[in-house]
Amino acid sequence: MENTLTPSPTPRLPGWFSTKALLPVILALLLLLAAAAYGVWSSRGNTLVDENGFPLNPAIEEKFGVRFTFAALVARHGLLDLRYRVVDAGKAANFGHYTETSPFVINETTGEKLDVTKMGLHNHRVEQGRQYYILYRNTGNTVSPGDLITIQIGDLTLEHIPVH
Amino acid sequence: MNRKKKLTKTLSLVLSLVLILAFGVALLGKVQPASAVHGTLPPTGLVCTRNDTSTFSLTTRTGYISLPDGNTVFMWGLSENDRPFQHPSPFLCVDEGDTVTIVLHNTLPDDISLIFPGQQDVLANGLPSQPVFSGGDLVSLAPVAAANGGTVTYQFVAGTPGTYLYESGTEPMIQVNMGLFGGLIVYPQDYIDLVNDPSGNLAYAYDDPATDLPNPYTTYNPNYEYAIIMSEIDPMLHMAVEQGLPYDITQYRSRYWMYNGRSFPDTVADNGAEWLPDQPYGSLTFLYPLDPCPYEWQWVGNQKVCPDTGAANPAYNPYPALIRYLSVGTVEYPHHPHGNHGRIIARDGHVLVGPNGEDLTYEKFLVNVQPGQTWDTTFEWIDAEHWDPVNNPIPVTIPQLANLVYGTYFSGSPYLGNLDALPVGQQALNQCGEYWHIAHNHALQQITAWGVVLSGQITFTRIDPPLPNNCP
Repeated sequence: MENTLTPSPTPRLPGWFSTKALLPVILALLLLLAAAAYGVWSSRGNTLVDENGFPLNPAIEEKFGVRFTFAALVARHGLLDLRYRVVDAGKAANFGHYTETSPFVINETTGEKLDVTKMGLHNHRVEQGRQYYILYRNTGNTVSPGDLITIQIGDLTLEHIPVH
Repeated sequence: MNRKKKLTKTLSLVLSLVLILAFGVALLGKVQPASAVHGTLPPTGLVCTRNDTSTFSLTTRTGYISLPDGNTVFMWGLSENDRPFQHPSPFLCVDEGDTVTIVLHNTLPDDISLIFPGQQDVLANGLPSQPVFSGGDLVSLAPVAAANGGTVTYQFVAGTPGTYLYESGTEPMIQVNMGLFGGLIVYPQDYIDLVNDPSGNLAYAYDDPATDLPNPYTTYNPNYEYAIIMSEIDPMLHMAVEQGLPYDITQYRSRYWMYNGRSFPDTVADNGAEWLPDQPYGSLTFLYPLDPCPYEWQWVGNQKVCPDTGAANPAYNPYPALIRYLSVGTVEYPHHPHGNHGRIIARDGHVLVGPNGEDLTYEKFLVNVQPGQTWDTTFEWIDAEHWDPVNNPIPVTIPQLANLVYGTYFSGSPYLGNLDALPVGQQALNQCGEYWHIAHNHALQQITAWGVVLSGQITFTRIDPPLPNNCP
């Protein structure tokens, strides 16, 4: 039997695999890349999260001995309830007692700020592992459910905190 | 166009849409609000569990509640039908004269029972519900649903209107603390008076026992009805029950004090707040000022006069709120609503009326509810002196800003509904010139959460300016 070498067919894309047809996919991929880049850019400052997905900033924990855990609107949205857990009782003793150790809350969409409040812990007795709260007046609905807020203490920030 | 081309185009479009959607979500940067576990509860006010037959199937559940200091505590509870664990157990609402049937299903490892203080002729499985003795020892105040699957059916005809408790009658010191309690509210027949007020804003909490007619001293606005059940927790007891360890009841020491199963600031979160899925009931009291004038007020000099006729007063709000207090604690809870006294209209389901219909209701600074008691109060905030920045200003010279200290919730103006200037650097303090008054237990050691101060039995009264207002 004679061996006949049959040339391999030239590899080519099927006719239906056209650049024109794939244009929407390419555009969408570019958009997705842009979104990913935005995500990386916008999460600068705190890329860490706790086991519940809540943002962390080790610098705040190192300086003030507290870890923020929760934010929600209460009292028919008249108050913002911000919770934090003490991770270092010694450092946390002065947290929130002076302007420079008190957290501001900033609405990331509008830039509006909620100021220092007096409704919170009234003494310096904090215990490691316990959770405490701060209540802010939600003036003029500065914050709404679903917003993302930034906590600022001096030059430290904790960003992208979801508000329940 | 051949099929492959069509398929490719379709796939491309679908893929593109998916990717664009992902892009949109990434850019949105918003938290998607979670739906409340308990459905669409009103943000404030009493949440009643009721049905046409006044038949309730209550099954024991176990779960954990959240405390504001970050702790969680193991609890028992009663839930209706197949609903999940909740604390406290539901407020059961019935009408006077209803035949109330409560089928208790016990899945717990201990015998349990229910008692209904204030209800007469309660039956258990068709027989009179009576204390149970074993060898001469009292073992339960009512026939039990045996451990691990027992059932007992209690039945009674709802007696006189009022606020009552239902709670465990078996080892109550342990089982009530563990959470086997709830409120039972008996309404007068046709308690909403649509004849005298077709708007539905007029209700009666009680009848006159002598005449069975609506008691005029117990009128209230049913849109502003609240119930606060007061309780306490010794977490060591709960840990012992959870782990099956012995517990010395003589060492009982409560560490948490609750309003509707929550400690402050959870108390002022909405009913059904998503982050408190097992603690559905808030205790914030929300009000508008009581305003008895049906027509728009007129100023005569610095006097505000209610005319006999004229344009309708949009702020017309002639009836107070009703706040029902119930306690399953072990000691007195001296609750004090700031801003106004509560008017005590009933205690333990007994309306305060004389034999000839005399009004025996009275105002009281403290609502000091004793263990096992219920107190009903009406509560209002009224602009008694009609202070007004233009027509009737408060005759006080306001000191310079530098000499003032501003309260947490002050709007900058003493007048309800006004926002005014504040010192530089101090932002406006509240939403729309509303007033906030704390309402709390005056036993200050009980406004703590295992030593954390300003928690426990604290809630607030929020008074918004009359409608229409600028409140969001």
